[in-house]
Amino acid sequence: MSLSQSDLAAIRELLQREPTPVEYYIFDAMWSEHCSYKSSKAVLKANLPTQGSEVALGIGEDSGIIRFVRHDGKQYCLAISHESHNHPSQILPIEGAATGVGGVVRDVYCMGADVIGVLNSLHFGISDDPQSVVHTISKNVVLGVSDYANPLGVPVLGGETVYHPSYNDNCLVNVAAIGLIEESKIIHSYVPDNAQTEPYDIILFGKSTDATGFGGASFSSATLDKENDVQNVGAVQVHDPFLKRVLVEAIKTLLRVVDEKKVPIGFKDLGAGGICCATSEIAVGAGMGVEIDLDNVNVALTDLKPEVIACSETQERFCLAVPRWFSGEVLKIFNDEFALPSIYPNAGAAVIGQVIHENRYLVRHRGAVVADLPVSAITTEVTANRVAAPRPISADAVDPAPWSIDQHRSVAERLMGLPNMMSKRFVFRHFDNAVRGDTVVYPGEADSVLVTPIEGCPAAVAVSMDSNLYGKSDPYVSGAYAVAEAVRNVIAVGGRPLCVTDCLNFGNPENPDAFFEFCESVRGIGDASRAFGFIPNEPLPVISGNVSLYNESKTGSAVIPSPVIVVIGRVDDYRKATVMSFPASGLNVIRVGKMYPEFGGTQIQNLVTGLNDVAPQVRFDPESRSNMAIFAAIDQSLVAAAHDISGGGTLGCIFEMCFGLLGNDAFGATLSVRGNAVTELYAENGGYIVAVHPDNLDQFEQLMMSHGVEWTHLGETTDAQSVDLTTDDGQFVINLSSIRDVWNPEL
Amino acid sequence: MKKPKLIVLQFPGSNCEYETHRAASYYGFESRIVRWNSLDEIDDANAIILPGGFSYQDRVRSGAISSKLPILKKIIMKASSGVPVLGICNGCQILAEAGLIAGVNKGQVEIGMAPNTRDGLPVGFICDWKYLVVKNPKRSVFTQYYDENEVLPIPVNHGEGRFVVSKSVSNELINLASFRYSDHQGVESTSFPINHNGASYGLAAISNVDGNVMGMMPHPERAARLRQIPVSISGEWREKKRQLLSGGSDGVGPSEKLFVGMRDAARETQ
Repeated sequence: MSLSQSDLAAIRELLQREPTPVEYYIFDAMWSEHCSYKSSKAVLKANLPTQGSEVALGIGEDSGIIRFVRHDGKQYCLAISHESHNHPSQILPIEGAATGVGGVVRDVYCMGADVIGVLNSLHFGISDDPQSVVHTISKNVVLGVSDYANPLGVPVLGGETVYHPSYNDNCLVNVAAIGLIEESKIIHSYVPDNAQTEPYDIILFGKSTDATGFGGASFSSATLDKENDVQNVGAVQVHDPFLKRVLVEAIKTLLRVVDEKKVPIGFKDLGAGGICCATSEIAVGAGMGVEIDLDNVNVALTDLKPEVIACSETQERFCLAVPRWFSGEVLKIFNDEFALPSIYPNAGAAVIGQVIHENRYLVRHRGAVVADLPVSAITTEVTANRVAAPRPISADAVDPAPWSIDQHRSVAERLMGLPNMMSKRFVFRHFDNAVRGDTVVYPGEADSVLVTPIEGCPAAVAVSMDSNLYGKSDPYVSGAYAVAEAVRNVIAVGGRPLCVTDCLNFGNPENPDAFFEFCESVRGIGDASRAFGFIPNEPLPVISGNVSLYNESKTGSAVIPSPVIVVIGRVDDYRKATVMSFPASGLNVIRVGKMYPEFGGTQIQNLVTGLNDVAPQVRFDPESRSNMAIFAAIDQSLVAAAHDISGGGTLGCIFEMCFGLLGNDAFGATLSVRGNAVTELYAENGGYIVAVHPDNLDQFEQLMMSHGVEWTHLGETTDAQSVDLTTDDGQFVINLSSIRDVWNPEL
Repeated sequence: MKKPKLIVLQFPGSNCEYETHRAASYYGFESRIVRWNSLDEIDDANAIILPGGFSYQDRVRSGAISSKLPILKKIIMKASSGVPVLGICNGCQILAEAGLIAGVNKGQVEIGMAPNTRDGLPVGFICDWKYLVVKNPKRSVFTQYYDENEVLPIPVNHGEGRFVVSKSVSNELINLASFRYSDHQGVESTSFPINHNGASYGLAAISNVDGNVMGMMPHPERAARLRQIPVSISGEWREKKRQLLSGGSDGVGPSEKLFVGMRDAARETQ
């Protein structure tokens, strides 16, 4: 329970009486930070652009929806939801991570969309102690994600695994789900207008309600405290992807009938706050009331308290508002055709209430009224005024001193063995990346994964999920850079960025230092989204998102500012997509973009001391020009391989292009860099490395010139298994086979 | 010629039925997806595929509960009448639990599909691209158009893909094996990483004695079209995919001959 004394006073004022136990838990969920965004809403509204001419459904329902492609007379759209499941994953990593996937896909299914993929951003701690819990957590979170996504039959289309000691007490598990839907078939999360004139039932379907996940929303809205371990464990939900898979097939059948018969329905998933939150929100969205009888809910156990039935967060459940004449057909699909009661004890569909014309949210249990609230009380906006305390941000970007050749060689040989530089195949090989059969570019082959979800249509979804470690040095940069990097990752495969989603992971907002970091990151995301729009005079719209605060334990420190960004793009024809690995020798290796001596939070800071703490600045105008230029170059088939510069800088980027996914059949490179060698090789300012065939070089350079872009000819690819470097500090050679072993010891 | 009818069976928890249906349709089947409890709908099938997934959550053992469903009796009857039956991944696990592979001693469970191991230790679910080498191609309708020792790339996605065979079958493995794991040049190995799950004899697929039922752990429906091939594998298919990404055109994938072999065998039952 997390309602504060002042919250309770406000509730008494609102109701003019004491709340009942059920009402108490309704407010506990609805007024939690998790559901109400009471600390964050004002900052988000002031900074994030949410409008765009291709937005089919903006922020406000379970998923945001962006138009994707028109094919065969149909307007296809992508529905996207992006959530965190940090606290549950820290307490029970397998269940927490699994239900993170389970929850985010429900948000997409209930729009009427079919999920075509999920991504995950996993942030783990670092410890030298082999007994440390951080190792168990990282292992089991991966297991949890694979335990859910694989049986559900949705491919994991990428993501990231990030290591930093600030995640030792609070891992972060962010998941995004993408669904495909025709625009004309979008189902809304509220009761349709028809309910004004004809009777509408509320149907609950899915797993039978039990006591799991009771108090989940409010538990996610407080710092984790060892003393509350027992209660916290009960607040984590339990996953059942197998049952969900059957539900998804039944939903497809239901939606087919709904479409054929043109039945107006409302459809919502059950998440935080369980039955009460979902059924009140589905009615409130249409300005109506609702009446629920808890005795009609399919329960797994007898004698559950009414507040548990009403508010537990049992997984794998959805609710529908359907015209009464149609209810019987709905029940038949779930209970008979898909035989849910025979698959899981007491699972199925049941009419649990009806839409009413009064402004009331009424709940009955065993004949007695256990909640009776004016709808306005539930939808009351709660806000919390938080204070931000600015801190000085380093801006002293001095050039590093020259290195000896021995130091250069030593750093270059260790770079790819850093936890954040190593191949993450040991993580993602546990995730099915090809179920549905639509994957055309696989995780690790390019900067974005590509899937072609529409039969007969060459358009591919390109998607990237990114965050960074710059937030400690500069929280503004952490937000702006995450957007810039995700945009580059979509462009590097030949994709046109369409929209942004965000998941914002920060510490306690009641702490002014943490709240400053939150505000600055959001400002960075907003500025970058406006700067990197791909439609003239439009921003990249932010269409979905989530805020996760209180990512700190009472004994430990907060996580570093960790905004996680997803950018979704479209490759018009997947046959023009560009991958990362060098395909041949004799190609020109060219860098697009300029490096600056800014090393705050960079990978090289882990290997040498004395570098400045200025985070890699995002320079919106030149980066935007580079983006447009690379997009055009790929579109004109001038580029043989492309990879964005981020963690590990220019040299890290080139090593990855030599290796590709597996490090087999690698090509080497001979490179020459002028200027400060440390900055040129290791700075992480935004840019691209591309490989260009000699026949295309003139045309490529003219294209760069016409876009006003800075580029540097670094050298060429070779058949040698080495990268040969000439710098202002001297010459040295890095043998690829030796760094391949530290980069991917599993090979 | 009339297309042979294929049923892709949807068990509770199947999750590869749609792409399997698409691949089969591409190779000339009149395919449809049928739910596990629609018993009457498989009577006219000329071929049956049990697709991948996690039916009944792999409770007890993967495939164990599905193998006891009423519809399995019908499938066994179909198989004994010569209809080709292919089990992919979870479908393979169901065929094993139902005693349809290897059929050395009819009706007995001779094969167990055990959790993946590496050097005897559990490794969990594995998603990867592997290479298969074709064995005894003329003994199974599914491999009839491949050459002995032909190599093809194909993805695996499973947690319980380790063939463990009873003694009665182990003597027959050399004759009943249809695909074994190998490297991209066809060099076979029974050890990691080539044999990623620890399967007996490096076994990826086995056919029954009559050659009309095959259980395989890799996913042919995900290697049915050229576009599905990764650029990160080795060999000729990588070069074909590179060409496709340079503006080429999509075409057949490495499992073409498997689907065509199955289709032609299905025609015989029309």
